[in-house]
Amino acid sequence: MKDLSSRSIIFATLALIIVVGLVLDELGALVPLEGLFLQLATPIQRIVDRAVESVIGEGSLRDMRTLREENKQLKSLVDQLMVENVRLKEVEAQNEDLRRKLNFAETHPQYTLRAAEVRGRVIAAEPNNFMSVLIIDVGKRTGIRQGMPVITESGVVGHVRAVGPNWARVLLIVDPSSSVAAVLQDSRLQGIISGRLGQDLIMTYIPQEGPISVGEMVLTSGVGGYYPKGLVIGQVIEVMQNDIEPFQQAIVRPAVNFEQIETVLVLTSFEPIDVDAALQAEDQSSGAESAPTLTPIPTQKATVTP
Amino acid sequence: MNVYLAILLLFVLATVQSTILPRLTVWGVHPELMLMAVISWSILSGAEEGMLWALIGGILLDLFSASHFGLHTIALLVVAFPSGLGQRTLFRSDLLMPLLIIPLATLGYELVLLAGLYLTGWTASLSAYFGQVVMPSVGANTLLILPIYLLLRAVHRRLHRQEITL
Repeated sequence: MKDLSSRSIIFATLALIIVVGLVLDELGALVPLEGLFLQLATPIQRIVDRAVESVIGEGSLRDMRTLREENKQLKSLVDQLMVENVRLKEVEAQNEDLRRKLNFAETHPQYTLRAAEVRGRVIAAEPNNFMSVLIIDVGKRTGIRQGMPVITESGVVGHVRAVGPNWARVLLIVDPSSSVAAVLQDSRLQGIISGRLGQDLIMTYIPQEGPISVGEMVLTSGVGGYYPKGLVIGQVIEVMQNDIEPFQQAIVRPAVNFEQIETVLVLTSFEPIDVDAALQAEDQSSGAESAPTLTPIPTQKATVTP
Repeated sequence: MNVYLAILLLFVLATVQSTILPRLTVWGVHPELMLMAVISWSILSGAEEGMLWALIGGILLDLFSASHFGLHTIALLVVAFPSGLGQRTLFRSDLLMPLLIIPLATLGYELVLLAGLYLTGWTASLSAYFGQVVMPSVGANTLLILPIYLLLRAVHRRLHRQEITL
């Protein structure tokens, strides 16, 4: 009987702790605690990560190490060439577009995106197998803010979902809760890229206005304001087209190998625009009595240099 | 077991799970060290200590995770209690015990996480969940439970011996 009552007390205490924790989490009151914890844990994670990296880096078999190094260099070269190729194609397409409009010098100057960046080291990942989130060792102190795009030399990684003084959580584009406005490089058809659990990305809502070819590159379209235009997302590996459907779909293999990310770049000069929040605010401010009217949202540009 | 020692040990495990284990992939998933440790300790020390480990370990995982606070804690508590009931049986030191319990515990743990994520608006296809995460996790954790269990059994015996000496 005594055993039963002590067990009941334990259960009640545990339930209380969880309920209080959940309520505090919903109210956002746990953010300081979480920040404090990660602030303390981040240096430890960094040390552990570097220790593991040094052990793996040294290796016991020299051949393996050489081969791995060569493979890494070749992959890096392929990535660089692919990105360069994509960039040149984009410049060409942009040039064409601008020529058609004739006023390119004023409205669409040929510019190269030179966003300021912060190099962050991946020090930890999500402790469960469902979500695709990374923790990097840069935060508010280095100018990181929520929503900033995160990339590697190969392409888009994701965006900053939460940020602390010396850490930031990055939601990867492969997470099922992630979606990115995208454009197919050759056909110029637009759609939405979404993550799928343990699988390649899927591009949906692609209009039936033209054919999509396997191997076509997929880039960020800049629509929605979360990512700058023209970043590489991946490559089409399968097309799902049916004439009776209003849209076609494509399976896209991400350009980034998410299993092997070690360092990332955070585009600190790109200011993401929360279009949904802006529209909601607009709706609320327009009042209940009159029909909602939308006025243009002030656009913010990424830092660009001619 | 001393609570402070448990917190320290579980902090180390949480750090390893979020830092080192993402580099290790078994059947496409990362092994769940905290779950294996909590289940092992529940088998060795009973439901009450197992639940204490689940509470501390769960909170640590929740602090490392981007998911809603409490999700890992609830999932670990749900599986720690039934796993600890086996402690009073004659087979508690049998190596078969963790091998039998861990697949069921992993299944329960993943399903609670899944339900929690669904309730908080995170969606993906159920067939993908089962095919790509739940079933491979059951396999990976079953494959790796014995080293963890044996290590914790050694710790448990050492602590138990110290208590008897005192």
